[in-house]
Amino acid sequence: MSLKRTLQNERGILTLDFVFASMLVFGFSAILFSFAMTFSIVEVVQYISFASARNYSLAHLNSDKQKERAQQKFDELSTNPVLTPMITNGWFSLLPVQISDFNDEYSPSTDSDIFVGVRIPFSAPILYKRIPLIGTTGNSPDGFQANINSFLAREPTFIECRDFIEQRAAQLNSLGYDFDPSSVRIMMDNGC
Amino acid sequence: MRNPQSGQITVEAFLIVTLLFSTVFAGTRLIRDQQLLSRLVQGPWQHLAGMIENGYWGSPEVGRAKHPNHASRHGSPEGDRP
Repeated sequence: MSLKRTLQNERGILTLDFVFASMLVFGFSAILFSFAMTFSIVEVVQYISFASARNYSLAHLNSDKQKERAQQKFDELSTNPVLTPMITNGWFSLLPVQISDFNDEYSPSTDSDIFVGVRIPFSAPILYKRIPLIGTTGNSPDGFQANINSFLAREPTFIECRDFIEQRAAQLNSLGYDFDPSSVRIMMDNGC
Repeated sequence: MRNPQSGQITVEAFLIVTLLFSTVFAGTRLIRDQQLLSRLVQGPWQHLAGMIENGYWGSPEVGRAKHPNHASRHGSPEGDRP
């Protein structure tokens, strides 16, 4: 092979180019796919938290019953066969749902205690990737976490209403009016 | 008589490959050391987590004070008091 033909020989350069380019393209495509999947699952989990918070907000016998209803709804939706493969294959994970009053975590300047509802700790290890030559997308698979909240407040329970009304009746009786306290009958309607 | 240019292509190719690999490895090391890929993905995630948690573009800790539930929903036909 002459010197001129050797210098013009570009066989193989396309393969080398393809290897580098495909590595980068596949890497960034995987990242974009991961974000798309994450946003989709976040929407689904957001609905689960909303549905659970809605069950929690409705009045019941007592607060434990309200939590029980919220937990039932969460269990029902999070074990749906459509969603289960996504949160058991290692791409996403849901930690145990928290059903509580979260007012202490938020700014104390608020005058309305409405940060009551459901919190689902969510993790997306799918976003953690190691791409050859250029490193990883994060410090660890546990670095992609978020709390998915739904704060719909909580209606007073039957027992809370009864205690409130009995307390009010006792205070009215203590005002000193001239009537027989034993003749007072408490009549509760469908709310406080 | 010996050809004075014999082997020159080999030497030049070796130098070019050395230069190419040096540049590639230096570039990838820079990307790894600066954690550019991590900053590209995990950096924005903090803002995304804040939006997911509080509906506010910012870290979750900062966004808690900006949660929409803090907004006053008081309304009056006479308007708010000055």
